[in-house]
Amino acid sequence: MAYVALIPLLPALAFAVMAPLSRGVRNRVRWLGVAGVGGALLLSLVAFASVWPGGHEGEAAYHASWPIAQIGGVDLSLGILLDPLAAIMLLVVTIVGVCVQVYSLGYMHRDERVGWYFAVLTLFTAAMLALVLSDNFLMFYMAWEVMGLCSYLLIGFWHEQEAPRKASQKAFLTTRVGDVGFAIGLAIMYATVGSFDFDVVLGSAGAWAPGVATAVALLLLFGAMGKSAQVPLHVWLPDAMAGPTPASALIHAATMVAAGVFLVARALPIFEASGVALTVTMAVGAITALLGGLLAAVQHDVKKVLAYSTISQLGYMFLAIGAGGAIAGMFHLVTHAFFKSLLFLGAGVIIHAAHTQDMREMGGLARHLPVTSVTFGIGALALAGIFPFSGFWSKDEILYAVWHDGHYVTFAVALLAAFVTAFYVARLWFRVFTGPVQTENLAEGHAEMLAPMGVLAAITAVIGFSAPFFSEFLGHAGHWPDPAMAISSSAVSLSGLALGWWAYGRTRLVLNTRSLKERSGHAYTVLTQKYYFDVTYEHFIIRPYMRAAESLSRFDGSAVDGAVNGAAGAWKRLTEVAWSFDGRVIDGFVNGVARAARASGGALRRIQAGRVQTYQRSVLGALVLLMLWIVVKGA
Amino acid sequence: MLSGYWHFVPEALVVAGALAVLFGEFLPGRDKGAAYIAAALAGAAALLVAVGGTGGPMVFGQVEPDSVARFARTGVAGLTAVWALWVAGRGMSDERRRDAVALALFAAAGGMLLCMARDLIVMYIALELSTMPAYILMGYRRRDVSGLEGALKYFLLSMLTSIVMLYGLSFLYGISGSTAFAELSIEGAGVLGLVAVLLTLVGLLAKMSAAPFHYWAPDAYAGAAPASVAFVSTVPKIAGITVIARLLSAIAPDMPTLVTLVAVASVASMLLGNLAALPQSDLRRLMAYSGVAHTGYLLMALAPGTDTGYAAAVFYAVAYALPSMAVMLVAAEEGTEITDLAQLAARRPWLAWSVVIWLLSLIGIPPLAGFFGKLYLFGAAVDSSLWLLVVLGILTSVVSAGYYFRVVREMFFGEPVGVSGEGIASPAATVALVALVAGTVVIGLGASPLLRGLGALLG
Repeated sequence: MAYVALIPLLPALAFAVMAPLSRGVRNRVRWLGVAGVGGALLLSLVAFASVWPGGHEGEAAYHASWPIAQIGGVDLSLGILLDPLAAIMLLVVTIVGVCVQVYSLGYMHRDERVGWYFAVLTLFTAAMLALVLSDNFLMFYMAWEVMGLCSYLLIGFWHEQEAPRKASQKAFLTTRVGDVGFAIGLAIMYATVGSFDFDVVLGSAGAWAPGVATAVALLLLFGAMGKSAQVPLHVWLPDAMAGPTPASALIHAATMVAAGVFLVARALPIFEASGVALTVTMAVGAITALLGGLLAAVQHDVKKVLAYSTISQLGYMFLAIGAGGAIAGMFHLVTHAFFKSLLFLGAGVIIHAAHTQDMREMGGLARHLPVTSVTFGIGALALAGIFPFSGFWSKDEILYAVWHDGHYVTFAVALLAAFVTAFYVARLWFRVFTGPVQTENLAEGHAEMLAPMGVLAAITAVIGFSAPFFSEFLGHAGHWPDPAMAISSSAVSLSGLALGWWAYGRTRLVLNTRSLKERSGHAYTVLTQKYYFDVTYEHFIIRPYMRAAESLSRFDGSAVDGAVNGAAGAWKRLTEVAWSFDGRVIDGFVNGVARAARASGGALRRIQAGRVQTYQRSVLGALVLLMLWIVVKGA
Repeated sequence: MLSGYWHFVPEALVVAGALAVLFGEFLPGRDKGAAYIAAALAGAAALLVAVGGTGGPMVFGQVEPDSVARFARTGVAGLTAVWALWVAGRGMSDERRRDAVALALFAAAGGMLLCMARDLIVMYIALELSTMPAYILMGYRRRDVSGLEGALKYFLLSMLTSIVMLYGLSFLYGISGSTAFAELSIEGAGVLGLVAVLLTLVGLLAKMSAAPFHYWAPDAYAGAAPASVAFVSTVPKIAGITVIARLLSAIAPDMPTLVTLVAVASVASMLLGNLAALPQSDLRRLMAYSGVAHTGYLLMALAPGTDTGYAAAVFYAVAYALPSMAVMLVAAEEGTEITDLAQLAARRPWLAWSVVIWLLSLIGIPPLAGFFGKLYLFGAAVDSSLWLLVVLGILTSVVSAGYYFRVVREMFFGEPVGVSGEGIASPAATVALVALVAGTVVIGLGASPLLRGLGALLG
């Protein structure tokens, strides 16, 4: 079964082939990324079949590890662990991955750096698959960080614009805050058991001192909160919408943000050993679910609505796991991955058609985008939790688990969040698809964009019925929804939808909701200011930091430079030289490139064409080749 | 422990020389006088190192002035002195200022420290100290856009490889728990250990312009003032090869994977350097590729991981640096195109014959320094049965005769094009060139005792 290792390696290989190519060639071979992820999908299906019918929790169908190094007498290894949980995640990641890649063929085909986009998207998929399959926390962490990097690259993909650049930095730094917690947690874990292996760590977690278990669990949770955008580390995700929409669908809705949830599910024995950590997880999830939902209800940018909705739904998953419904949480992760990526892909078509992201400038798209409106509608109903779509089943399981465990306050919060969710779903749908048309030349998306949406919509429509089998596959007793719970949760969702229709769906005019906003008064301001999280961070963290940096540089400028200048004029000449580097180098660079390019003739001279980027790429390429050779040859 | 500190006096002299040039405006005779003082101080430092004895580990074992370090430091300080003397006499081309000497002396101080380094951190800092001034030297002509461009490329690539090297150093430290060379060990660390060494070597190899990390050299040299090239292409190489030898002998003398790794870089450098040098018409580019090729020869001796190999490499680094610096200084006097040297034999016969001697040494004709240097290099490879390297080395040496003789032909039979040669007579510059001729011959004749001293005490 060594082919399992190929699942992350195929896309990784595709990236390795694409990365060093020149831009033109890379743009032409973008199908390599699709092929890599497609291959991973096929292998994942085989792997899933080999795990079927599952049923035994924690029992691995395949487990292998390869030592890469030994430090201080301790082996570090990369390992593959295929168990039912991993098998399900493999399918989710590869199916959504393939859909997004195919969709991107249509969505991104005009971009001049489309090859790089596909390369990073493929690397991201490889990292996520490696994370899912890893058999130890260290490899998990490595894959986790690679995903962070890919996320940074994709959010800032259009880096010539200001907003994506800032958003990518914000995302990277905010998740980094969480990662520091994660890393410290790993260090404590290692100090306690002397190993990173899941088997060893999770097997012994029950015997840890409660304080240690709590500390490790909370630190891991902190890392997960960064990645999964939980309050108060959620601020990066809405900004991350500055990236290409299909990338948002894959990364910031379906997979990477779910990695935090997956981490908590994987490390569940540690959380259970602690007890307190579970309660904290539940509280964080509940707060996030509600706050995120409320924020989604006041956004005007269609992608921002979905972003806050993602935050809220991730909160739902944390809430479920914290309340003891880990299976329900994981099931919601799966259903959410499909319907949320569907919604994001639909949003991409909408944005392409309407040439705006602002819902106030949209309307009446249903007539012009029939396929999109149907598929998007399916995703929206799933998100709102309406039978028979997937969201209904997973949300119902979560509510059942929370109620069953006696967390009544949390249950109330979860119901409220479900109501808000249904409301903003209705608001989104009615604003975009009904009402008067405000845009001309509306056109449906390309076939390669609509086909993946069809696939995802089909999955969303039917996957809910697998709910009982899902539990049994993971080794727990499965059950069909409790009728009373189903009726009450459906009633809540329907009333949310009804309120949304009442506010946004009845009129045939361009909406003006000012009176509604004025009546809600202060509460609305708080929401539009995003509970002042960004302002607070800006005021208390970023500005003081910038001030400190500025005064340091002033100190450098005045004190140090002053002393130097005073000592001798010669230093000044040196700095002049340095300045003229800055001033002239751009021109010189461009001229030099042109000159060198004219002069270049033979094969050796073509490499030596004067482009420093080419040199750096060649240096790193040579380095990578030599490293590969060492790895292949072995010590 | 303090008693050994006089070993640092040569470095102190060199730094004092650099400061003297920096503050030269306050001296009588202004910067010219200061440059002479600097040259004298560097020369004194070279003498002091040469006659001063060797010592054991000092400063918590971070440096060790042993016999190899003595030879290499003498080379660094001596060549710097010669170069400073030449600049003091002629000035940098197009620029009247002579503060380039200060930069060179700072770099030399770093290089001398590097020769003694026995600790990763000292090594890294000394390496940076010896390259930072080199960036400025390469972009010394402020109004010359192509020079600045070349210097920036040098800087960017050098920084990139420095970062890669730091990454490797952190692994080395992580694996062995110490930064001291003596305690470095990658035994049992598996692939990670080898990768750490590779990452570390990349930084050092790039600064030595070894293929495939050499890309900066031709562009940077071709844009820079030839006098800057004369320094940057030679002196740092002596220190660099010394520390590589020292590091390799400390870490893993005879690990087969490492032998192959160094051999690959050697083969790539020899082939690429010699072949790419053939079509060049600019002397600076030609010497850049020739430098790549010679780094290949040096690596050939390092590959086997034997003491005789290390000694041969350090010896050849000096034997290569002398004529190479001399040729670039001639280019600084006469012009950077090969055709600028046309009829040099008629105009300045002594200089033309000196160039012949230097080029013959670079090809490796007895009894010059280059011949014996190559002899020992090839000998070290033969001892370890690295036949492919030896055969390639001999073949590419023959190829190299092609482009070196093109220069000779131009000097004796070329058609002069336009006015060439600035014709500034400077006794000091002449003395510097004479010293370089003498050095090329004397080191050749004295090769075997010098090398015995090196080989016996190395490792």
